[in-house]
Amino acid sequence: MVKVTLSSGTAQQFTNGVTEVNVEAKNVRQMFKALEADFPGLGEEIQTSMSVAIDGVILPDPFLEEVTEDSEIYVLPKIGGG
Amino acid sequence: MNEQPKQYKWVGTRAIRPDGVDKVTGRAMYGADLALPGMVEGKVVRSPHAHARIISIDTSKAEALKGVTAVITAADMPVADSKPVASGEAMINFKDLANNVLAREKALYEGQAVAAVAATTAAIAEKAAALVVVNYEVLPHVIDVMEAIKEDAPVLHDDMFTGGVKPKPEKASNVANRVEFALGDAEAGFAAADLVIERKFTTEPVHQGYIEPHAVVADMNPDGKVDVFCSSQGHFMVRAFCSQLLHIEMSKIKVTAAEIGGGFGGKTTVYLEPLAIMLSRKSGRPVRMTMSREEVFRGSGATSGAAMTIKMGATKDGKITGAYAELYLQAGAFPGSPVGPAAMTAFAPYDLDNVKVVGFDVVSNRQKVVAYRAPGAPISEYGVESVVDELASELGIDPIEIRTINAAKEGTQAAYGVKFGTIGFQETLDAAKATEHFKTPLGPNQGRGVASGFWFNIGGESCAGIRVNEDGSISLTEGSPDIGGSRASMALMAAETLGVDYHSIKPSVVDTDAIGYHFVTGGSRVTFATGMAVVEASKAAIDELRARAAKVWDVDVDGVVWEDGHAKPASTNVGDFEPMSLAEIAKVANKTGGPISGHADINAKGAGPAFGTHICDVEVDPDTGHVTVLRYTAVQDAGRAIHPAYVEGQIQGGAVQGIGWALNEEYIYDKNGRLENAGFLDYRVPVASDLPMIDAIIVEVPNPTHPFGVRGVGEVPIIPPLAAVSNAVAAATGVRFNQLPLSPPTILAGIAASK
Amino acid sequence: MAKHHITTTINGEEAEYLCEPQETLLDVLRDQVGLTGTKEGCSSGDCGACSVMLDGRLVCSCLVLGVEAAGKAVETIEGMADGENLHPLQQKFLEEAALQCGFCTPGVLVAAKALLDTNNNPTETEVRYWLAGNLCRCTGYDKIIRAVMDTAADMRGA
Ligand code: FES
Ligand code: FES
Repeated sequence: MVKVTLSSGTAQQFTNGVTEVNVEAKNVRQMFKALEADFPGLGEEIQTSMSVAIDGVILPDPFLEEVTEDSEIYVLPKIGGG
Repeated sequence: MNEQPKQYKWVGTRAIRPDGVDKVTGRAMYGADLALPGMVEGKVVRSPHAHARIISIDTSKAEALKGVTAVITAADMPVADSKPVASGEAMINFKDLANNVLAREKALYEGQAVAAVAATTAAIAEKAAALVVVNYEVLPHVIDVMEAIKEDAPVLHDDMFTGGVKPKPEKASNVANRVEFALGDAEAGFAAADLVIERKFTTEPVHQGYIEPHAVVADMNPDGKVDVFCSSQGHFMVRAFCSQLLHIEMSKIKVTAAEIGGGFGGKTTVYLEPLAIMLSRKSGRPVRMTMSREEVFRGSGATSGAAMTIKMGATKDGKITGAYAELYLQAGAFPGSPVGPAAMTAFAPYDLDNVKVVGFDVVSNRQKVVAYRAPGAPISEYGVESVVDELASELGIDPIEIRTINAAKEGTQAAYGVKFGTIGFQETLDAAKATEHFKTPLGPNQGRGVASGFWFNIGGESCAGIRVNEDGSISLTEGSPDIGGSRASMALMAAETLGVDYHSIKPSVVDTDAIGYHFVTGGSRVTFATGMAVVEASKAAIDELRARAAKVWDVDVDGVVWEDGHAKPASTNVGDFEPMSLAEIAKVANKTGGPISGHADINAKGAGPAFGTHICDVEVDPDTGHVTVLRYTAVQDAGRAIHPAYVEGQIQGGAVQGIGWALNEEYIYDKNGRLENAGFLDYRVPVASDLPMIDAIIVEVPNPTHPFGVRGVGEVPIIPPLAAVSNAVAAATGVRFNQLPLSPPTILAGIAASK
Repeated sequence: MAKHHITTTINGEEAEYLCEPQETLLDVLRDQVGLTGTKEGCSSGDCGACSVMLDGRLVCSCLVLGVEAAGKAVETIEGMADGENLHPLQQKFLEEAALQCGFCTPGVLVAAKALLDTNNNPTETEVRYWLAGNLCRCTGYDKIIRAVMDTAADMRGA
């Protein structure tokens, strides 16, 4: 199981306010699938319009990365810049 | 972390930039400097109304004018779906972008493009633009963010329902989106505090103010191929956006990056480029379009204005126990203010257990907001840094001390979730504290302000090519438009990696046909991400150079190492060979397999967050309300300064933009929603005589994921000045203003009210 | 509209162009003469990007008509270097990184040269006020001011 932390805003939209969700996944693409299965719309939303931070590194296009029980995973809005 | 910085030969030197001579002699080609044979000039017809339905557009008179080669309206443009598409890192709703480029049903701000013309001379084009008859039904408008969220405010988009809330609202409104971040329990945090301060703040939208107006030359062939030459922060962005908007395959569009006369985020989108392509298609001739300064103000750019509430609580000894922020950011006419980053950065410099931030993205009848240096962060951090300052002074704690007590460090969880790796916030505080500036006594009517700032920095797609020429010189290609000397930094990193003379490397920013996709020059990513690509391409070239030397020596490639620009046998076991220089290997390249090169196409990860701390001294004239900045010091963690002079330049330039934001810059609208100060005379950016020297102090806490430790520099310096200036004014006057800009009338009114 | 035939001197060489009565010197230089080093940032006299010398006087070429240059001497950024040899200001700007995007640079250099030609020992305040009409959004002016003062010091020393 990996633990995925959502912002309270995202949680209100997809998980009835639960900010920490656990899914079975070995990598990010499996994580997206599992999230989508448990909370319809969430996996899709993250893939298309959000970033994911894994162990402190913000990834705008995460997909192939491996995740483990110890990974710290946060879902964030996308960040651009001037 | 306290290891001595590695000694580099090129990295960290102040080499002369490769494009420098062209720029000091007037040779460099900016967006408006290209003239093609047969070229015609394009002009935009803009809405005179802040909010109006477009009933009809009659182009016949304009078309009939002698010399006119084309007239276009939104009817000439494909209709885009209203669906956000991932484009680079940003989510782009191409329907909104299309409408912003050329209004279809409604004009949503004064200055929005509604039609465009092309003619053989600029004067004729101007005349033709005036002959385009647009029939409008004027609608009620709303400019201010807090007005726009009122129940009875005119609604800009009747199909827009606030996102980020559940259940979906039943009524359309001007609130496009809501974001929220929370950690711990803010209320419990306030209960544990000895002192709680809650303040409301407002900031005005400001323009990026690049001195070069937008400019483009587009040339479409009868076979559908398009050449575009333009000033932008990303020629790949221009290609992608034009391709999407005009339904032209990317491979048919070649965009060449002109030298760019400043962008600061304002040139990360398209305005003229798609119009120029459409006009060229209709005219059958190359089309040049340039904005006047007035058009730049009315029709482009601007970052959000905002209204916000910041509440923070602390114990007697300065530990912040709870923090809350509510942010309303103007998006302009279409959704997309940087409220997400504003909310995430607000409290990021501090190690807090109990935080809550709520943010709203609000549309109103003004220009569609586009990025401006660290989008969103200067706004929210201005409010937070003001309250931190007030907490410090109420508690009798030194402003650097209170920040030190609460500073985020490695392992701190930021309010937006992520735990920081190696960061250098404390180092900037220490360096600020150690300055002579911080200890210098002040005179009457003078005050000192301190403020800090945080920005994530970003990575993203970049590519690089290293070609070893026959004579041993190096052609370095990449695709990040160079706004502030990045070609010099790229060449320095390549020289360092390859072990060759910086001057033997010629870096070029090449066109979209010549290299792979690059995300825009923005977010402080180029030295980090494109630099990473350059280092990887250099390493690939080194591997090839080693392989060639191995062939010459008839040994295994593993037996060859690369040191100081030479291939050398790894040990005496390999054989007794004279080291071969890069040039010597290049000379025999034809015998060993042909031309030698190295390439890298990457999506750079692991950008290093950066912090800055600024100190500002001001003097306030109690009779006129005029604020003079007397002295300014800006400290920033750059990770590693590849070219320290350009790092200082970024810090100084960003700080001065922040000072302008704090003191002078604002848009003034009349009651019809028309901009009254669309020029540099009345929209006053800082000039040389307004300012002192800006002492830039670079701190280097290397980013472990970058080969040289680069973090990125350009965004952070604009963040602290808003609060640093405002805290200094508070110290000088004894009055807290909590609104920007701190123009003389505001100051005078504030002083009068306090008496 | 009848075009005027203008004879003038640009960067020391005799030049001719045809221009309409309302055309600015800036437009003429850029579009007719092909000297695009002089930049347009505002065309209203507020940014200084278009600075040139007209008979030894510093002017905003966007506020001067093309016809006004008749019989006068125009000096632009393109004439500042002596062949291969950069003017000391140009050299100093490169060495001290006094430019970022470089768009304001031609105007700043022309204006700074005008100052040093008459005053080779300006104070920081004098330089700041002299260049107050030349907007730069990139540098915060720090390195520009230093480069001008350092060039002046070199010129005095030389
Ligand atoms: S273009 Fe002449 S002063 Fe700006
Ligand atoms: S260097 Fe960009 S405007 Fe001065």
